[in-house]
Amino acid sequence: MEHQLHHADEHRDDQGAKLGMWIFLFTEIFFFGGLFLVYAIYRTKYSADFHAASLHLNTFIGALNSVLLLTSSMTLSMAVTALHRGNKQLSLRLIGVTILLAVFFMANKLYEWDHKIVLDLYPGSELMLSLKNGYVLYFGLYFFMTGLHALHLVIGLVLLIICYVKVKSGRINTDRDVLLVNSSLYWHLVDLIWIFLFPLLYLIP
Amino acid sequence: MEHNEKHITSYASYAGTYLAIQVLLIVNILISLARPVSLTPVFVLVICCFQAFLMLRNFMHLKYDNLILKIFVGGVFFLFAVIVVITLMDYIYR
Repeated sequence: MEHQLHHADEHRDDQGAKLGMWIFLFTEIFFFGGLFLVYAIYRTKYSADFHAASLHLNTFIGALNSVLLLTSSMTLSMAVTALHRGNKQLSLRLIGVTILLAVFFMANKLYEWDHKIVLDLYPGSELMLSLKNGYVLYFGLYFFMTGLHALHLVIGLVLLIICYVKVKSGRINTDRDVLLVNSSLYWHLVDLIWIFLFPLLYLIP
Repeated sequence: MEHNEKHITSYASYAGTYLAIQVLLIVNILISLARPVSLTPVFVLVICCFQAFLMLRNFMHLKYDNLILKIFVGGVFFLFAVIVVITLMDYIYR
């Protein structure tokens, strides 16, 4: 009987995976960047309307969401550090906190959208059709940009849940961390986009 | 085969970065509420760029990444800035 020796070297390229993630993030930067540019041009053209429309947004909720996202970025970074230091339990707790913060962010966002819909301030509503072009553009961009951001956040949330399960089962560990590291890069980009989205929509007069 | 040189960032470093970004957020909100000058939007966006820099450098670990990645990221933001300037100039002077 012949015994065949199977020698399987694991083919992994963590650096390549990370570079691939960054290249994907570059496409996201240009994607949202294009939207920011559209916003800037219409903001210049319909300055007064944009300012008046932006007064309908609640700065407190926007600021609260900023705090939630920034805190989640910190907790996720700390989760990666905890994993690298071999502290699996702390890493799990920190990923759990990040997930909770993301859920709070989404709850806030849904509350805000609901409030606008109740006030008939959404694209295509009867009230909106009677308003000036600047208002229509502002709320169109508001719903599109925050909606797209929220979609990215939900994708990030799914990634974090997968990471949580894999850290718990040991499939993500001190040595095999690329999924968690890349997910955290994605999460930070979602936060980075919000850093610009918040002042553009809520703060700039 | 794996080539990994992991840099483990301390919890304190992350907490410091977090505090700095939060302080900048508060400054941003105060400036936009007070509106001290007509160039308030410019100040607000400059502060956002500082926040983004801290986020990229510390949270996204660019500080400890290899030079080629830093050049890539810098190049992408430079390219985006060029696109913004060209588009706005075209819009303003058309």
